[in-house]
Amino acid sequence: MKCYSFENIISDYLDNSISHSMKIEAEKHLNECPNCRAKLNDMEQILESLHSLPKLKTSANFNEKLMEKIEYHKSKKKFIFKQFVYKYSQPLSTAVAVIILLFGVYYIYNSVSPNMPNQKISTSEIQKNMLNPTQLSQPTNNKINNLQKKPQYAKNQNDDSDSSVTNKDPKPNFKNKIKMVNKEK
Amino acid sequence: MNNNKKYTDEELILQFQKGNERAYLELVNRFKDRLLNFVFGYVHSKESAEDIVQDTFLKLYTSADMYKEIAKFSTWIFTIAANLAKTELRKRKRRKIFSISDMGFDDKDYEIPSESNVPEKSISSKHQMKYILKAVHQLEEPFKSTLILRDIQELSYEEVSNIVDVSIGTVKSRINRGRLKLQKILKNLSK
Repeated sequence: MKCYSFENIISDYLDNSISHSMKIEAEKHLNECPNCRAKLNDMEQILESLHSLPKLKTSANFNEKLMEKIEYHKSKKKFIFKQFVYKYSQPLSTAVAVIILLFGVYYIYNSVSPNMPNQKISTSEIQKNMLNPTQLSQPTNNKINNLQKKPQYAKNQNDDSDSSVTNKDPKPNFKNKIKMVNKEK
Repeated sequence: MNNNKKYTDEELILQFQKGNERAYLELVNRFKDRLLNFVFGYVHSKESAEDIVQDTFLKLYTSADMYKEIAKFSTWIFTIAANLAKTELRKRKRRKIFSISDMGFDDKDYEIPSESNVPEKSISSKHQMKYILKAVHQLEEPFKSTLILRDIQELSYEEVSNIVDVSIGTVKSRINRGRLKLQKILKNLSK
């Protein structure tokens, strides 16, 4: 047996948990090797010291202290929850109120003007409508007015086209339409 | 629940998971001394070791649901205790770094437990014990925990194997290597 082989089984040898043949081989090596013999003696002393270390016992009030710790932990947990509720209840309720208010405004806005086109109306236009409410209340008259205005514009356009030859834009001939409208009147 | 001895550790933890607090107390009584000696091997102070054992049981109380039947209860509880002990050692190390007036590691005073039932030790043997505790402290994992369980707590190989959750062969190998390392450390310390 070599020294490193003995090192590998030194604990088993001390614990007496090796086979009989292996034990004989180890003892043969120990007789021949003073280094391994010294190592074995040293190890025996160390183990003795480790075994002789006093075995500790928990203090008499260990369980009481533990129960106190558990109770403290329980109360701390409750306190943390209460503290959280106390600390954040005000901002949370404010946030909820703001959200509800915003939803309310949005709902009211949608229910009042559900088909309102999404376009900006200038203040001048609103003022105009307020000053001349008949335009809103009598849409048919408005249409007629528009029809009356259009031929005039068309006529002017035609006059212009006569003067300028380069204008090749095909303008609709409103003359017939004007006549038809006049006849209808 | 009068004959708690009949119940295995695993049965007791399952009962505690169902809300039986007596099962919890039985587990505390079964493991408190074993855990104290185990943790003492790390922190070398009875007071700190007891605090860590209490924290271990507090964790057992608050996180009992984390235990799954696949592992042995002893493995689980010893792992919790070892982790808490390592955390305590890390905290101490940090404190040492930030404290200018602190002693160096070599000057660290190792508390030798004095129990009333233990005969008075001679000064030389106390000195030797300090060296041994210091050497155990310097051992690295997993040799340290295995050696504490086997050589300080004197548990059988089978018990150690159950606690550290490795085969008996691995435990034997770790013990052998751990003892040789300890021998080397002690040799260096005595120089």
